[in-house]
Amino acid sequence: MEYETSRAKPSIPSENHAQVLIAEDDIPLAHFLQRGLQTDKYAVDLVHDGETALEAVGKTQYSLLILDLNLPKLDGMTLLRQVRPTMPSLPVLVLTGRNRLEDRVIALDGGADDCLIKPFSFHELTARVRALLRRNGKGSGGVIQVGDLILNRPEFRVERGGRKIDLTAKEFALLEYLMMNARRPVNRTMIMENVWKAPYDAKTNLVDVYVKYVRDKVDTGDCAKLIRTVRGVGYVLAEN
Amino acid sequence: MSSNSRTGEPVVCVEQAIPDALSRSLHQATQPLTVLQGTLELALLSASTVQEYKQAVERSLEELQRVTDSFEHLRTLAQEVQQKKSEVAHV
Repeated sequence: MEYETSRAKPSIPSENHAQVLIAEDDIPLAHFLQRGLQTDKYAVDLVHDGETALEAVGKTQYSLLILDLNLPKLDGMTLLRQVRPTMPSLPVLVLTGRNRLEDRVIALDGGADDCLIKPFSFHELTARVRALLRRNGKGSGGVIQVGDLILNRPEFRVERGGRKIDLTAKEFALLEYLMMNARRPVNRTMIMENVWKAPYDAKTNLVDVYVKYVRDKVDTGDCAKLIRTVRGVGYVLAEN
Repeated sequence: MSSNSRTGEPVVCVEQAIPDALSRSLHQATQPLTVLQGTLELALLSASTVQEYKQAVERSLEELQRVTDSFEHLRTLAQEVQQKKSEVAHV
């Protein structure tokens, strides 16, 4: 199998970082995407045709597949249909030059998790990559960091500036949700639905109580306050 | 399908081929445009030395050339279509 990587074949992900396969037949574009994602600390393998891509995903457990639809030997849609039954949880981001609505619908119905139309912004691509990895719990290997606050999902561990913070399971889930939405205000309904998996009931102050618990443990002493109340909205976790 | 009464060649094929060829050429142009946009975005975001900016400009020029090539291809295609149309009109 012909992998194209800047390091080993296939590439070895650095600690806590996701391994991405790019299947793109346009060589300059493929190399550009590889360089850009490597800058963001992803381990990136390149393949330039559908058959090699199919072989690669069968041999290596990738965190994400970035798939051009217009591939030689085996086109992207056929590849997707072959991959999906055996790898239902592999996130697939489809790249396409076809901007018709029906093409995007076919790609998403065919098993793609997301779809980007060329030409696209590299910032948008990386945002979508992060979102897909986050959804799959593989973003940075399950480690989220905001400022000096680090949440390690697989180890159920939280640290701030090297200080270990003990949280209950629900507090951990709440902090994880706030960190996943860092810099974006989230309202009480969103928190209730995503952390408690229950509809928001305005008669209870459950969310506020738990936010206080977490805040008391995270924002203690002289350290900068990360969790802030956004009046009329809810809460936001952000530096500064 | 109609045909050229003199040569017997199918003429509808030309009309069918036009959208496909156009679509292919436009698709070709989206690849360098993506690299061009991304290269400039990353240069703005992270380039800090003259050398890094220079590299970004060089890459951008290479991709711009590929865009130009795609447009040249489209121009040739348009000329061929025009020629075929006038041939059909004269039959």
